[in-house]
Amino acid sequence: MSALLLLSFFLACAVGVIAAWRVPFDHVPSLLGLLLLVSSAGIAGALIVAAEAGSAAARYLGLAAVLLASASFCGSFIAVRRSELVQRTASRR
Amino acid sequence: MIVAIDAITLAWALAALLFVQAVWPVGGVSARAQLYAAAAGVMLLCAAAAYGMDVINMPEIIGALVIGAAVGLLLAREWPGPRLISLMTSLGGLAGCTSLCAAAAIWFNPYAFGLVAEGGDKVETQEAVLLLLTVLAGGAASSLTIAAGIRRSMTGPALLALTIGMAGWSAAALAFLLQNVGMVVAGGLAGAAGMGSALRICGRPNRKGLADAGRRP
Repeated sequence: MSALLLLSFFLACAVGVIAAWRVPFDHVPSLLGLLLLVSSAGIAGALIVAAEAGSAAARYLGLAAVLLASASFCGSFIAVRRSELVQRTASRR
Repeated sequence: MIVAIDAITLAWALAALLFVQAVWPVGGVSARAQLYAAAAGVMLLCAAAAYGMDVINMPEIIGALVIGAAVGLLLAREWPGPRLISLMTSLGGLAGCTSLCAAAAIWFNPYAFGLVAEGGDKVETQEAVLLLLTVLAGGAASSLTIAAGIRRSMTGPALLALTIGMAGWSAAALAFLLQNVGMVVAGGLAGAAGMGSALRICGRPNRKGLADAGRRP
């Protein structure tokens, strides 16, 4: 396991914890929407796995991973935009 | 080859910066700009993955991408507004399920991802542990979603934060397995911030963080 991977991981964890702790409590739902989008980055891993797969089972599982990841990413993007619109409308009232 | 490695590393670094910009709480940045930064980071990671791989079954992959995108868009557009949080929890569960499927695919094709050393017939311990962590965290995210589907009273911001945290950890473990720095950053960020938010929602009686420290309860 390379040092770069570990260093990046611990730095990202530190940034994540500080971001979660520093954001005002009222803004936590909007932070959760952004985190949902970031957590769907598994789509990149699914693409790598689907492209490398050798046996039939591995191939179909890789394609299922791509399908689920794509649904998660696109759905998250639209859902977060919708919730942001709802919050903006509520704050105007 | 050197140019390809440099381009991929650059894409990972840019994606990591975009993720940090999206999540870091600074004034003056609109919520929409943060959303687009996060989406651009994920797209950059996808581009780096597509750039670096030997594509054998590209038509099937593009088909799966388009079908998944259509299902996601349809779900998110048609879902009733007041229950949007349950949809977001389900989408977090889908992200965990993605890691489960990818881990299973790696298990069925161990030589391609270094699970078994070339010429050997034994699974490497470090890779086996990472695979187990991916399955555990991905399974936890999926189980939380199923639990929220069965008992609707459980749905709420705390469960959403927990699901996101677990999906993030599973993506990070998968990224360690695939040696993908950009995905490690995204997974670590989502995992740590999701668990931190869940702790903040559940654990503290007056729900104060550093930003609220000056306020009265």
